Amino acid sequence: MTDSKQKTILSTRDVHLWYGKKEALHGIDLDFPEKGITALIGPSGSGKSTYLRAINRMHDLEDNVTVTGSFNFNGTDIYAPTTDTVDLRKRIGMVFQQPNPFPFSTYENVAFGLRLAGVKDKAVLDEAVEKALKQASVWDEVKDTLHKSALGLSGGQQQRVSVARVLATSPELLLLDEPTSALDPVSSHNIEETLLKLRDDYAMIIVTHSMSQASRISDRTAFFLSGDLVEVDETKHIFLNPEKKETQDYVSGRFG
Amino acid sequence: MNAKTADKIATGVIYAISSIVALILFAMLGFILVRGVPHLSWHFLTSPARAFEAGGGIGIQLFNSFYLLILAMLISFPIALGAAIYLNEYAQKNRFTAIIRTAIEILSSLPSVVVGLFGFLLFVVQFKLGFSILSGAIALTLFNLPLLTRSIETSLAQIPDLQREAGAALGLSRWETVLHVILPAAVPSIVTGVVLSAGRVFGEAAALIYTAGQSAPALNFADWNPFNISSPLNPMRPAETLAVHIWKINSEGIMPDLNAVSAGASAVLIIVVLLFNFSARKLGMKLYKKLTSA
Repeated sequence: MTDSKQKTILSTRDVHLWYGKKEALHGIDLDFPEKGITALIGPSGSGKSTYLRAINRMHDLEDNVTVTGSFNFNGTDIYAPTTDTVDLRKRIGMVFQQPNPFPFSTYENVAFGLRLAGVKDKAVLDEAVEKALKQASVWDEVKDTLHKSALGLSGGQQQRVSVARVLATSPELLLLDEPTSALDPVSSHNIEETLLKLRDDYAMIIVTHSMSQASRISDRTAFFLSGDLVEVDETKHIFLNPEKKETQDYVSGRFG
Repeated sequence: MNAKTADKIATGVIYAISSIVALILFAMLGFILVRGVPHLSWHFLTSPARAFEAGGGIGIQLFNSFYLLILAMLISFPIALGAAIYLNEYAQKNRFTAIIRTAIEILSSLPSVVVGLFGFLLFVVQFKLGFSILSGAIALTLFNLPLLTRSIETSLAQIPDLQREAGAALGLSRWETVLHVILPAAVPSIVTGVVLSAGRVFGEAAALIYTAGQSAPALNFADWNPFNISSPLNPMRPAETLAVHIWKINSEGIMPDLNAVSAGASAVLIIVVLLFNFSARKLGMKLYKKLTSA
């Protein structure tokens, strides 16, 4: 699946992050290949979500957060003063823990990004919506109620519509912040299936609390602990044969 | 006394108190309606008032009330919306926004008669707008603005931050998120707030006595050119509203059927305000349903 010959889509070096005066990330070096799933695992407060949200500059929405270090995303310096966060976030899509469809119809949710980008042709929109919903494996369930409110869907369907909404804008990188932790097992399974289908075409970074999920769907796994990156490797190495003792303890359930 | 008995007594007292409140409300409404409704007729609602003889109506006052309400809302809604969007979506916690919030609070606790006198000195006298619908609408705006701003701000604050994050993560600018995500989601609750405040504005008298004036010149309802002095739409004409009319005939009215007119006008006022209140909820719920399950 992934090997060292793959092109790197995102390369981060010496990433530090402070909430006020409290340092939450202590220098993270991490590279991501242009295809496949990388899982970020670690106990609560280890900094994995914090790191993920630094990639598309979601911390800009909060006061008092300082980020340093270099983020090279396909040649773009993410934190350069000239980088426009609006453009950046169009290229880096994000799916959140809670499904968060907008209070419109399913169709309008998925077409939203394209409409804002100026696409008006109905045929183009129809096609893009169908394609994105199919990619997110939710088309069959919503195709008859496309023009009804997305808030009427189940949590799992809403989350897959959220995935479709992001895919419709053709991002280069997809960030997933614990996308199944608010869902029931069946819906979680559906989301995992969706991600597995996408991993040949997209670069994805997923933060997850579930080690079994990381082992099921990811190609590479990075283990975070107390704001440090302990170890990153192919997923099976991390789970079967980790180099560091902390990793071994965590994946075998001895703490966390 | 054991806990169970104490609980029963407390429950009883609380029920009694709330019943008294409800009873007072119903007694008042009942009194006003029973006294007033028998005097209502199409003639009463549409014909002009008469100063010296019986048989006058409240047509012009009723029209003035609605016209003033609409003008006041047209002025205050955009300002309140802008202020609420700024306060809830853009403002950071600093001295400047703290001052704005305090100013809004103080403005909302100003007695309406003070707002009226201020409007009289500034708009009627200084700006030479005279006793006019425009002066009244501006005074009502001052009176309405803080409450409307607060109500819209609350509506916006109810939209979960998840929606803002979703917008930002999708590459929407803050303004696009507000315009395309937050506002549509908040529409039902904003509408409810606007209609409720319309009810309050409709019944306001003190702020209008010195601004919109206490006279209702005859109107020509066939003339819709707002520049003619007898046109109902002319914003520069003095315009006594229903609430001001009630106050005026009770303090200095000399028509023989003054009690009947007063009772009838009060009933109309109460009915309209009640309609606003009930429809606010209905409208909000209907819009919400339409948005969430359509």
